[in-house]
Formats: sequence, C-alpha cells, structure tokens
Amino acid sequence: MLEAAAEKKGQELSGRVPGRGATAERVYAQERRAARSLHGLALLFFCALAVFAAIARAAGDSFFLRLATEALIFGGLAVSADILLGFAGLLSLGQALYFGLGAYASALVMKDVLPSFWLALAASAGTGLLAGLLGGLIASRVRGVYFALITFGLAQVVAKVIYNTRELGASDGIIGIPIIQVPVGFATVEANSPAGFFLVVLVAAMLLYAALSFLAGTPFGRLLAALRINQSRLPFLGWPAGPIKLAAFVTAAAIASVAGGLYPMLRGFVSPELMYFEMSTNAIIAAVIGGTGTLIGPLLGAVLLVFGKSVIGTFTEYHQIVIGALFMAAVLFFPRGLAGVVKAQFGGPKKDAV
Amino acid sequence: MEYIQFVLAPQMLNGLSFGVSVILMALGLTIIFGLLDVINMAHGEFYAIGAYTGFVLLGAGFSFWAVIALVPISMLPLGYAVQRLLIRRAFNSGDRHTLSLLLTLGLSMVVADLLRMGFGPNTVRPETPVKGGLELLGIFLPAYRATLIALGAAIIAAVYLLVYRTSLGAMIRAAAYDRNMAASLGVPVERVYSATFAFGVALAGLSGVLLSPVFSVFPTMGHDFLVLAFTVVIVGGLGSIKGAVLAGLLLTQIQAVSSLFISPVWSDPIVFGIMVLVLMLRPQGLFGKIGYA
Amino acid sequence: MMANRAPQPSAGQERAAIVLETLDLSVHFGGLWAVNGVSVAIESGGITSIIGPNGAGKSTFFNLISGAIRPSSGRILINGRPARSSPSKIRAQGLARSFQITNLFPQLSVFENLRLAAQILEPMARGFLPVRMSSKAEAKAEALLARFDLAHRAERLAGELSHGEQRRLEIAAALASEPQILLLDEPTQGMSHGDTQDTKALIKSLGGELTVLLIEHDIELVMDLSKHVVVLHQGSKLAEGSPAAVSANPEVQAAYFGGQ
Repeated sequence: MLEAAAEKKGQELSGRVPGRGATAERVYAQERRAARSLHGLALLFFCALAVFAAIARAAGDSFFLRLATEALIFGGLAVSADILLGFAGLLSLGQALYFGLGAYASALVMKDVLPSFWLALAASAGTGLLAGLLGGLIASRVRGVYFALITFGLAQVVAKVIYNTRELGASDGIIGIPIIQVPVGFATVEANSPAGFFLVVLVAAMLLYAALSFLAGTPFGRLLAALRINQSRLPFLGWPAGPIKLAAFVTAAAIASVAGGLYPMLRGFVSPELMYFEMSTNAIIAAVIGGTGTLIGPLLGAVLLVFGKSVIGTFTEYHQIVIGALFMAAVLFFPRGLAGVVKAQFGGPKKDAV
Repeated sequence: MEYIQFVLAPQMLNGLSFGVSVILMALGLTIIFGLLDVINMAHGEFYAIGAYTGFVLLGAGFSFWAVIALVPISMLPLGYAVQRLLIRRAFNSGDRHTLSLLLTLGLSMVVADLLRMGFGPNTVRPETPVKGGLELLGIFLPAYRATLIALGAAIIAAVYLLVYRTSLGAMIRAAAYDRNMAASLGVPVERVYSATFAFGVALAGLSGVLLSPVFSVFPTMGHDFLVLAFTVVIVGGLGSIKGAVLAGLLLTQIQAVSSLFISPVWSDPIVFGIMVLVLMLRPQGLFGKIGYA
Repeated sequence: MMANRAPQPSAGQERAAIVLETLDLSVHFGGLWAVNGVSVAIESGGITSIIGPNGAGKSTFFNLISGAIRPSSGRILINGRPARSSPSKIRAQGLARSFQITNLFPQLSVFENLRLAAQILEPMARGFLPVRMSSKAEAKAEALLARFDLAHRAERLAGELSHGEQRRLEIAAALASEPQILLLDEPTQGMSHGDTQDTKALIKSLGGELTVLLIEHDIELVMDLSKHVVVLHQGSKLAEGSPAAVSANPEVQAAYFGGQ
C-alpha cells in the first residue's frame, strides 16, 4: 500500500510541485491563528498605553508617565533576555550588562560629544554589537547551566570594573546628562517632556515588536525556536548551532544596549546598578511572568513588574519577597506566562480540525 | 627568606583557611548538582542563614563549638523541607536545569529579603571565637584561622568518608548514577534526594558560621561568595567531590597570592577568567560526576 | 572475507564508485575500544546493512561517520574526500542520518519539522525573509509528507504522533536535505509488523535512488533488502559480504548465538 504510493510520489520528488500545496496552506492557517492572537494582545497593550498617556497628560501627571517610560525601556531588556530564553532556550543571567553598557555609551556621547538622540543611540547600538560579539564568542560555546553562569560572571566582572573606574564615575556613575531634543520627523520632542518622551519610547517598543515578529516568521526565527527544542539535531540538518547562537546573542545584546541607551535620556544619569544581577534577574522574571517566546510577553511583564513594584513599595520596603514568591509561583504553576495563556486560549487549532 | 616567612606564607595560610570554607560551600553545591541535577542559586542564602543562625546562637550564650554543631543540624530540616516542597516540583520536567535555576533564584530573592526584614540591612560581626595567634614553623598565624584549617579539613574528610565509605553514601552514589536502577534495588530515592539536598544546605550553613567572624554577616553576604563557589564547582567538575576540593584549594591560593602583586579589584576578574577558560576548554572540569569521582 | 580489509569487487564486475570509506577507524572511551580498526568501502547505490550483536559498536560507527563524535584514529572518506569535522559540514558533503531514538522537534508541527529539515536547500539569504518565500523547502516538505503518508497529520505536533509515524518522520527528515548517502539507524525500532513492512518497502525504494547504510536488528529485513552486509562484533569488523555469505559464516553465527 505504502509502496505504491511511494512509487507514485517518488516521481513527484524529482520535480518541483507547482503551486502551493493544500497541506502547507492548512499549516500556515494554523500558524497564522496563533500569531494573530498574540498580535491582538500586543495591539491591545499598545492601545491601552496610548490611552493611558492621553489621560495622564490631561491630568498633568509626570510621575506615572516617567514610570511607564522606564517600564518600556526595561521591557526592551526583558525582550532581549527572552530572545535568548524563549527562543534559543538559553538562560542569560547577565543581560543587564549590555543594557548598562548601552546606557553608559549613550550618556557619554550626550554629555561629552554631542547631545544628539541618534548619535547616542548609534553609540549604544554599536557598543551592544561589539560587546555582544565578545560576550557571545565566550558564552555561546556552552549552554544550560554553564551559559547562565558565564553570562552571570561576565556581568559581575565588568560591573565591578566599571564600579572601580573613576573616569566612568565609579560608584556614582555619570550624572548631569543634558536634556536632549528628539527629532521626530518634522517636530522635536524634549526628552524631559513626560508624555512626549513616553510616546517616543512607545513607538520604539512597537517598532521593536514589529521587527522581531517579522524575524520570528523567517527561517532564522524558526531555527532559533528549533534550537530551544532540540539543539542536538540541528547540525545534522545542516545548521551548526554555534553561529546561530552567536547571531541570537549579538542581536539580543544590541537590543538591550539600545534600550539602555534610552535610559539616561529619561533619568539624566547612569550608574553601575544598571548592570547588576538584580537587573538581569528582573528581566528574566518579567519575561517569565509575561510569557516567554511570545515577544509581547516580556513587554507586558515589564510593565506589570515595574508598576507592581511601585505599588508594593507603597506598602512595604520588602518587595523582593512578593516578587520572588510570585516568580516562583509563575515558574511552577504558570510557566507559559500571561501571553502564553492567551495564545493557548485564542490561538489554538480550530475545534473542528481533523 | 624573610619574605616567605612574613609575607608569602601567612598569605598562603590565609588563603588556605578561606579555601577550606569555600570548599565546604562548593561541596554542598556540587553534591546537590551531582545527585539531584539541580542548580541551587539559593545556596548563598543558605550560607547567610547559617551565619545568622550562628550569630543568634552565639549571642544567646552557646559556645562556639556548640554552635558549629547546632547550625548545620538545624539546617537539615530546612533543607529537607525546601527540597520536598519546592525543588521536587521542578524535578520531573524536561527543562529541569533551567527550571530549578529559576526556582532557586526566586527563592534566593525571598530569603535575602526575609533576612533583611529579620535582621536589618546592617552588618554584624560575631566575636572571633578563638583569639590570639600561634606560631607555626616561624610563621605567625591568627589562631582562629588555624582552627578553621584544621576544622575544615576534618569536615571535608568526614564528608568524603560519608560519601565513599558508608552505606548512605553508597545509596547516594547509586541514585546519582542511575535513579531507576537504584529505586529497583530498594534505595528510597525520594528520601535520599531530600536528605542530600538537606546535607548540601547544611554544609553551606556551616561554611557561613565558620566564616562569619572573618567576613561579617549581612543579608547579601551570599551573593559574591556564590560566584566563587560556582567557579570552584565548575573548575572542579560539577558533581565531583575531589574536584571541588582541588579546585577550591587552587583558586583560593591563586587569589591569595595574586593579591600580593595586583590590586584586589582584579581578584574577581581573574577567578572569573579561570572559570571561562575552563568552560571553554574543558567544560567538564577537572573531574567527572559524583558517581565517578 | 578478511576482517579489517576492504573487500575487492568480484571479478568481471565493474568497480562501482566508492561513496563512503573508512580506513582503520577507531574510537575509544575511557579504555574501551567502541570501534576498533574498522575498514569498509561502501559502493554507490543500494542498501548496505551493518549488523552485529548488542554492543558491537554499530551506532558508534554511525556517530563517527556522521561527525557526532571524533575518531581516536583512522580516516573517513566521503566520495574520496576526507570527511569534515562537524555534522553540519558532513551534511554538506551529502551525508544525512536518522536516529535510533526519535530525535526531532516534538513541539513543532510535522510540516514544520520537515520544512526546517529542508531549509538547507535554500540559499542563506532566504533565511531572513518570510518563511513562505522558501518555496523549495516548502515543496520538499509537501512531497515528503505525501511519500511518507503523513500528509493527514501535517498540522499535528510531532510529539503527538504514534511511534510508527514518528519513526517515519525521522526518516523523512533525514531525506529532506537530498543526501547522496543516507544512514538509517534502526528505522523500524519499536514498529508494529504492518508498519515495518511498509517501512521496508520505503527503504527498498530509497535504495534505488541513493546509497543507504542501514543498521537493523530485524535479520529477515536485512537479508531481504541488502546487497551487502557488514558484521561488527565488539567494535571490530567480523565479516562482510553478500547476505547469503554472511549468514553462512560460522564466526558470525557464533557471535550471534554463541555464549560468552
């Protein structure tokens, strides 16, 4: 039975099957459904934030707008951590290193070179690429625990070196960053305008989401996902794991650095704390709570975490206990995270599928 | 000659006393990994718990010798409970390493803050239990450091004997080597796991007590130490007792002697650099898993 | 049938091209020689089976040829050229393999498993464009689904498949990159009788298209399908030759049925 079918189809193997097959269409339809549920969530998220901005501005608030801006900037770091964790399956405990380096690069450019938005971000991006390459060459040869520990150690060491470097402000960091103008097409936005800068960062976050969503739908993105599921098979399919991991690492580092580059524009200073372990772990926590591997999850988780901390902080100074406990609960009982649950609920296969 | 007598040798002995405590901590980590396949990121917190417990007990009037016995004993049930209630849940998942890492990470956050809540953020320092100094072959050494070396060596030897010369140790090694086979041979695997985790945690706590007069006690004392402990474990080989001992001695000696020539700022980068080199060139470390140590 | 020497083709036969050759190939693990001085020359086309009792080193042999592990000594030649050092480079040399324990992507759909496996057929730049533009890979996946009778399961996650279906998927994935040499490691492992017969037919047709190297425990299948058989025992080559010759060989019989 199979032999006959095999012989028949064997002929089809030699020539290309013209047009797109029905099987592929079915599969793509299913993949689209899953992606749409996440895009829907993302749309909701961004709209909600835009509405929030309008309301806050009308109410004359600046604190919450700045907090939300910081949350989105931190969200960039969380996305960076998730590219490694949720896609490549690599747990980085030192992603804040690239965030901090990007922040320092941006700060130095704005303060000592030229208070230019694009130049500062370019410096951050360049720093991220370079540092990511170096870090990646070291770290991507290993995986699992070893990867986590290498990234952990790398961040610790560099943070310590910077902490002890007087030229970089040592433990105080760099302060007195000038307020810059952000050129937005025909207009400019002042960096210290709460609503204005928030919108700039919001747009940046949307662009990041769009770009990464595109990447996830490419073979490269699929290979990354496959890397997480079964790294050992990939080389036998023709894809050496090392270069792929390195590419993912460099990409993640660059994203973290650019996000970090926005930080001094918001807060006017940078300090070694931006590279510390706590920052790195918070990024992971945001990604896990929001939903790893979903791209919108880390952004969601970041906003929840930052606002959650702020809220908890009004009741007690021991917010680590609550966050830590929530994190453990998420790891044990909700490993898919919020976005993951949405995807499963709304993006699953049609009920009447075969 | 004088240099050796007054500078180098005391520094090396200092390194030795530090090394012995680092080894105790690393032993706990490596045993937990070797058997349970669990990365305990909260190990530093157990180290701190041990130090704080010791501090409290000393303050309550117990003698130092009583305390170094009481602290690890009191931490056994704690470790057992943590394993049963928490760690075990991560155990059956395929992503065990990542999951246990994340779980213990969360745990470490909670515990660190709990310690801060209970004892305040400030540093405290128990009195040095053995005062004075002694002279050994013309080298002057604080008496407590000497005690540390002797005590530490004895405990390390005891751990080695326990793992390799007792039936409990045999059960642990069997379960580490092949869980299902051990279970079918009648080894109570679940209980062995919990007991081993408890044991590893107790070692961390003991290390905390022993080092508290030297390094003081504060809520985040475990963090920096954890990096060093992990480095020792990796260089020595995850799961290897022999490796932890050798790597512990080696790394702390390198740290001690190098600090004579270079600024202490570089001490961490050097240690880290060694870890990276080992991970890149020989990821399994010096020796293998606990079953074949 | 000398052990450890590649056999000469019988007189009167044109010497077919040697697509895969190992020369005194050995690897040891901690004092144990898992593969010990094995020399074979595999001719192009047809099915060559590697058989031997458990622990003979068959899978290790496959691991060596496919680049999963490095040999301690000896050489491997693919189409006369030295085999490269990593699995991905060896795949580029035209050799693909399946695994004894299904080694795919359980959380991805069957279709995606095959599409990924076929992605190597596309130029690298396509990797950064939307997946739907990798039409070659997509067509290949469709074709494989049809040939291996998995089209109706295309959207299912690979992990949801029955054992027999997973084994079929395993072979299909190896085939996706259009190799010249296909290593099949116990493809019928754990299959029902019906599935085994179907797979046997499949392997037979594959033998007509490319060079197949097969590890199998099902002796009947081996004898039916193979044009050439290599027997390994405790890491060394014990015998090789036609199926009839090998099964008549007293040493081979002793190795399989003799006590130890």
